[in-house]
Amino acid sequence: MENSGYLALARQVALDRAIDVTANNLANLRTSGYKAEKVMFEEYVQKGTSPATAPNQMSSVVQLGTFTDYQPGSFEQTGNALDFAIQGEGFFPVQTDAGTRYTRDGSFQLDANGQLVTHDGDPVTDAGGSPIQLPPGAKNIVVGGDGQVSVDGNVVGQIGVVKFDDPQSLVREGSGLYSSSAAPVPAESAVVQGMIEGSNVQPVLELTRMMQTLRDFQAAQQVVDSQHEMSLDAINKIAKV
Amino acid sequence: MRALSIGATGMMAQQLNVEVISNNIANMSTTGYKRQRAEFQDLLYQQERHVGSPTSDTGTILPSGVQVGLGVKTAAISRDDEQGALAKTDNRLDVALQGPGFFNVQLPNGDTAYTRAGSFQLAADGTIVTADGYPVQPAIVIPANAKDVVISTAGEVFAYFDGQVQPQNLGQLELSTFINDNGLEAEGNNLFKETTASGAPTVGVAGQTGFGTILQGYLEGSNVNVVSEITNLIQAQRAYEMNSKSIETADQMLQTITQLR
Repeated sequence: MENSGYLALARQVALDRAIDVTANNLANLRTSGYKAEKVMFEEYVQKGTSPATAPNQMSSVVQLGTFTDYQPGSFEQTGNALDFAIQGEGFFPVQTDAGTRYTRDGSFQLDANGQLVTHDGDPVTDAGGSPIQLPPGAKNIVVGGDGQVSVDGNVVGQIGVVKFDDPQSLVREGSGLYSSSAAPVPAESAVVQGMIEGSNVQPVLELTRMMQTLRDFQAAQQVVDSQHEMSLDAINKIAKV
Repeated sequence: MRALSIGATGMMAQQLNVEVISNNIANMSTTGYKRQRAEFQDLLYQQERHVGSPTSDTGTILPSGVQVGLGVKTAAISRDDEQGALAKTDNRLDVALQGPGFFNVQLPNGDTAYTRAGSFQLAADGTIVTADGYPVQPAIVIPANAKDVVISTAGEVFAYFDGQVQPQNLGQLELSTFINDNGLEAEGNNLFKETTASGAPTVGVAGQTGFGTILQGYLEGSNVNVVSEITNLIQAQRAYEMNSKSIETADQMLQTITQLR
């Protein structure tokens, strides 16, 4: 009879995860290039001990995984020549100490040597993995839709845009970076200069999901409470006999 | 219940965002001010089930793992170097920079600082100084008997004297550019300082390749766009409120737990 308590507990543990993911999406409501995370649950079926007395099985909920919603975020015009957004699928490759990483956050800068870098100082590369070096004093920087960087009319490099056959296999690393064990393939998506892709988190959806999660959590609590009442009732009645 | 601290990171980030926006609005009439923008990044992820882990002997793998993000962090507060609008003042010693570059200013401790605010004045001895009285480099002294001062687009300072037809060349204002303007450290008082991130300055004169030109009688206004700042302010406030909802919800869930008997 205690099973209902365990089932409710499994539900509450799952909902606890769900609220963490929702809270993280809301915290990143204004993070450039952020992609919302979604949770998936699956049923875990526990078979009864004696098959003769079927249906004697319980199914509880376990978290199967999280997946990323790769819908595009809204584009925001910044007017900054070193801000870029990708129109369509794809990522900018970034060379970090730990290896190549991929990002959708195209708010880049120049470092003291004139290399195109992210906020963390990691060089942004072309599709082949070479950094983009701008000549000293470069001011008139124009980047075409294909990512080609020209300074005063001279082509100095091409910002890479790559994609993956299965973007869900990417691992989130934080700081807007993703890593992958699979090799990327070049993407045909256009690079837009002077724009930044905002977060694709939809606040209304997240808030309603949060309310739903809270109510579900409280409902599961009701199950625990009534089971407790039943046990108490039984103890009292049996004690009277 | 990580949602409590995740919501807190979100609220702190938006608080900083509001502070940056307020500073932009406060400096909407500051000469040579460049608007700033707070940029955010997602924080670490806890990998609870690693994506791609094998799920059987036959080579099947997890198509997506369990990755729980832990909130948001501030990545940078970057400056937007867009040219500010030029406002006519007709003051002889007001100079605006059109295009890249900074004026060089000598600080009292001997260091060089850089500024785009060209609202210069004269010291008691006729030296061209900033509004704080710091001499502009190289030092240019305008004699007391000068009738009129003319500054060319290349920054050459000429003075006219009584009885002379030809103006006298007193010197030329120098400019500095940096590879990474965003790497300069803001000192306040419209001054910036060189850092390792900005790179060493390239010194030149106005009109050279890579340098802007100088306009006498104008000042470069702030490049703050009030409409977009107010829109950003509304967005930041709403984002702040929504993050407070995460905390509220997490709190109510915890309250439910404490009612467990």
